[in-house]
This record gives sequence, structure tokens and C-alpha cells, in this order.
Amino acid sequence: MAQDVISFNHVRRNFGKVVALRDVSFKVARGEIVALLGPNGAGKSTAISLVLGLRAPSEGRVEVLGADSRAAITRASIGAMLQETSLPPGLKVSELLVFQQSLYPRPLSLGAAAERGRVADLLDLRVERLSGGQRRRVLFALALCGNPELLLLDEPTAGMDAESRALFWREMDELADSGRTILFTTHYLEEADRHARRVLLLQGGRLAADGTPEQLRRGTGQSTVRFSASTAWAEEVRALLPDCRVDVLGGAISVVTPDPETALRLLMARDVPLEGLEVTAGSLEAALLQLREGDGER
Amino acid sequence: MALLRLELTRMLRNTRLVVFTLAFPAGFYLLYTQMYGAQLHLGGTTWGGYYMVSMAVFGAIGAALGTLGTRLAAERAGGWVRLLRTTPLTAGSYVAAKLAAAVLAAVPATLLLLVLGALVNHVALTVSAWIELTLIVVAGAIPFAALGLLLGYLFDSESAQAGQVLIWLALSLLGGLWMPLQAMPKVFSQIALYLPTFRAADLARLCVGAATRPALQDIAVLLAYTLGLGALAWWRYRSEAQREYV
Ligand SMILES: Nc1ncnc2c1ncn2[C@@H]1O[C@H](COP(=O)(O)OP(=O)(O)O)[C@@H](O)[C@H]1O
Ligand SMILES: [Mg+2]
Repeated sequence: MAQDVISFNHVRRNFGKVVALRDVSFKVARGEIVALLGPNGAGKSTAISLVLGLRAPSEGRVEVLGADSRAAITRASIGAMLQETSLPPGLKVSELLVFQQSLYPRPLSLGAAAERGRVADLLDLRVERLSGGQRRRVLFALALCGNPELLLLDEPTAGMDAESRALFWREMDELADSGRTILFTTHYLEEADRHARRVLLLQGGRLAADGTPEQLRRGTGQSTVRFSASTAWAEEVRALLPDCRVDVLGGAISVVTPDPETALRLLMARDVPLEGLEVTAGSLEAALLQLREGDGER
Repeated sequence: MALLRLELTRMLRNTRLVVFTLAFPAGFYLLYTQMYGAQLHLGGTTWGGYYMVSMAVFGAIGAALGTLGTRLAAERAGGWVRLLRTTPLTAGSYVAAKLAAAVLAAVPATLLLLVLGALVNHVALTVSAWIELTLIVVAGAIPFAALGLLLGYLFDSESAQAGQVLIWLALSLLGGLWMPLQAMPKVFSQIALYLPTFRAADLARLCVGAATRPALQDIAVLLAYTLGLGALAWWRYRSEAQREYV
């Protein structure tokens, strides 16, 4: 059944004089995993809160699973992780999970929620003793408790360490494979690139782009050269390629350039170690930057 | 109900609340009945019986306020309420569980003070009078649960804790829970007539034969407070919802 899980129809949302979203229309089909990207203040969290029915659109219509997003009926099928949520102190993680399960008609078992959310080791801890990253994990486990069809995640990996993020995304990929629909926001473009099958780009409250990560990257005419090298090399690489954007992330150096061949030739001439070399068309980062510059000229 | 259980668990683990609402009233009770003598006659009963009711009400309303007000404020500010709004839990059952927990929170302080009265100061009542007294003191916490709800929707965060404690202490003092009104300047007796603290204690003193006002009048004032504070809390909740979500 090709029912839309989320549908925005000419949605506008004002906060007083601030227009957080303007004329935004898109649909998300069942089983899609969609990244909502954009700079701070672009309207990502507002869009998520509209889907969750926490806010109403000022104009237009938001539908979730075929009903108005504020209809209570959709909530049994939704799991959410919001941007900043402090857990009520005085409770153990297991008690919170059991409570959350009691709210849903078809919950996961405690064991399953703990395993999928990777909080099995935290069950007996009081929530006020958790670190920031552990708290995010608990919030993710809470979002899974109701065995939701649709997951809405607002910056789910903010505050997680690299290992937690990797494990988190492994779980997310599995959920997507099992037919769940997922809409998430992130500041790590790599995450969107690797795990989303579709990217919605918000820019000043407008939907500036909608496509696969591949399509967005190609649109830029830029390429990314990525290889493993110790960070000590980064300065050398920057000096060699002064016009290119050079980033260091997780033991890898990435270079965004319109001319990957020349860049590679220069790097090899200097004997920069190019272990695990990878060249991909475009970069999401460049796509975002281009859109932002284009927006400034308008 | 799951949320109620959660709330009660949190209450029992909140040492500060337990100390404030159990140790303080119990400590004051023992101290002042030792100091003045529990058998002293006052308002148709003994000091031991009179002050037992005062301190039971003092602890009970403190517990009711403490489980609701600032905690609700913190949950709103911290985003927990927002997360709950994405679940099938309705706003009505959330508030109902909060209120029920606040009223149930009044039980331990009430029982402790009555037990101390009976065992330490030999307050003698019939079984049915003990039961009635317990129920009245606990029910007397209802307007304070409504007050806690309102404070929860007025205050913005945990920093308002001090404000809530102040309101608790001030209402208790002015309502004659700390010192009998007979021992305070006359004007305080006039003020106290309008306070839910005085009315809750006066109604409960019926059971020890020391009520000073008609029971129906006490009940009417307590009911008026409950409805008035409840309506204000509802109005705050609505206006916030209008601003935030619509
Ligand atoms: N509750 C609010 N009141 C007033 N303005 C808000 C509110 N929430 C968001 N905004 C404004 O709406 C715009 C979009 O915010 P948001 O959706 O949080 O962006 P993002 O999540 O993409 O960073 C910003 O300009 C922000 O200041
Ligand atoms: Mg945001």
C-alpha cells in the first residue's frame, strides 16, 4: 500500500514575526529513511514538532499516517527523540522504560527495547547519574519502546561519542530494513550521506532541495577525496591545496575539490600516504554551502 | 496506573522531601509537646492532641505541594512533558496522576504524626475517630495539590523551589499550624479564617473535639480553594498551550 506516512502540504509556521517554515510541501513514503538538513534556525526542529503534533501549522496541512498530525490516534505508532529532554530524576532507567511501554498498545518487551537501544548496561542506574551520551541512548530506547512505525529523531547523535554513533546507526539501518519510516536531523553530514536514502534541505524555512544524497552531491560539480592519514598530515595537505576545503574526521582526511585529478597528483608528489583512498562525486557539505551562498545573492 | 506508580517511586526516593515533610513536623511535635506538656488543655482537647493535628496537616500539605509544584515546573522546562505529549498519554491522565500522587504523598506524614500522638503523648480516640482523622487530613491536602498544580504552571524551573517552600511555611504560620491562633495577635485569627491551612486543620480538629467553626463552612472554603486554584491552573495551561502549540 503506497500510503504516505508524512505529508506536508503548503505548510507555513510563524512564531510571532519569525517565519520558521514557509510554503513547505513534501511527502515521505513508508520505509523511507530521510535526513532533514539545514543550518541552525533553518526550521528543522519546527518541522519535526509539526509532524509530532506538538505544534500546529499556521497555514497548510500536516498529515501523519493519513490523519491530521494532531489527532491522538497517530501517537500509538510514533516514536520520538527530541532535541533537549531531561529525564525525571529519582528513577532507574528500567523503571522509565517499563513506564513508557505501558503507554503503548503494542510495545516492545523490556529486553528488546534495552537491547536495541543499547541500554542493557544502564538499566539499574538512576537517570541523574547518566552522562550526556548515555542519556541520549536512553532517550533512543524510550523512542523504541512503543515499537513505532515512524521514528522522528531530532539530532539523535548529538553528544554521543564516535563508537556510540556507529552502533546507533547500525541499529537505525536495521530498523529501516525492517520497514520503519525514519525522519532525522543531524549536524554530521556524513551520517546523512551514509544512512539516509533521501535528503530534505531546509534553508531559511524554505525547502531548498529534495533528493538522494547522490543527486545533491553531484549537483555541486565538486568531488571529495578521502583517505586515512594521521592528522599530522592535515597541515601539509592544506598547504598543498590552499583553495580546497580540507576536513579531518575520525582518522581520515577529506578534501573537497572541483578537480580531483590535480589534487591527487599534488598529494602523490609529496608522498602523502593515501591509504584507503576514496573519490566520490561532490559532497553534501559543498551542496549546502552552495545553496547558502545562492540564498545570500537572492 | 503506571504514571502514578512512577510518581510515588520518585517521591519516596526524594530524601529532601521526606526529611522536610516527615522529620520537621515530627520533630516540632515532639519538641513543643515536651516543652509545654502534652496534657495542657487547649480548645477543648489536650495540647498533645491539638498540635498532633496541626503538625499532621503541616506535613501533609508540604508533601502534596512538594510532589507537584516545582517538580512539574522542572518537567515542563526540561522537555519531559513535551516528550510525553508525543506518546498516547493524554494531558488529562497526566494531570490526574500528578494530583493523585500529591494527595497520596500526604499519607505518610499524616500517619506518622497520628502514631506519635497516640504512642508518645497518649492521645486517646475511638478507632473510628482515628480513621476519620486520617481521611480528613489527607483529603485536606487536595486544595494544596491544586495549589501545587498552579505553581507548577506558573513557575519556570527548579529555581522556584525556594518560593514554594516559602508559600508552604507562610500559609502554615498564618493558618495557625505552628502556633495556635490563641497565642497570636487577634488580627491573625481574622486572616486565618480565609486560609485553607486553618480550614483544613479546623475540620480535622473535629475529630479531637476542638473545631472552632462549623464543619460545612470549613468544607466550603476548602472546596472553593480547590476549584479556584484548579481553574487558575487550567487557565495557565490553556494559555500556554495556545501560545506554544496553536
Ligand atoms: N518557540 C519558539 N518561539 C519563537 N521562535 C521560535 C520558536 N521555535 C523556533 N523559533 C524560531 O524559528 C526558527 C526555526 O527554528 P528551529 O526549527 O528550531 O530551527 P533548527 O532546528 O533548524 O535549528 C528560528 O528562527 C527560531 O528562532
Ligand atoms: Mg533544531
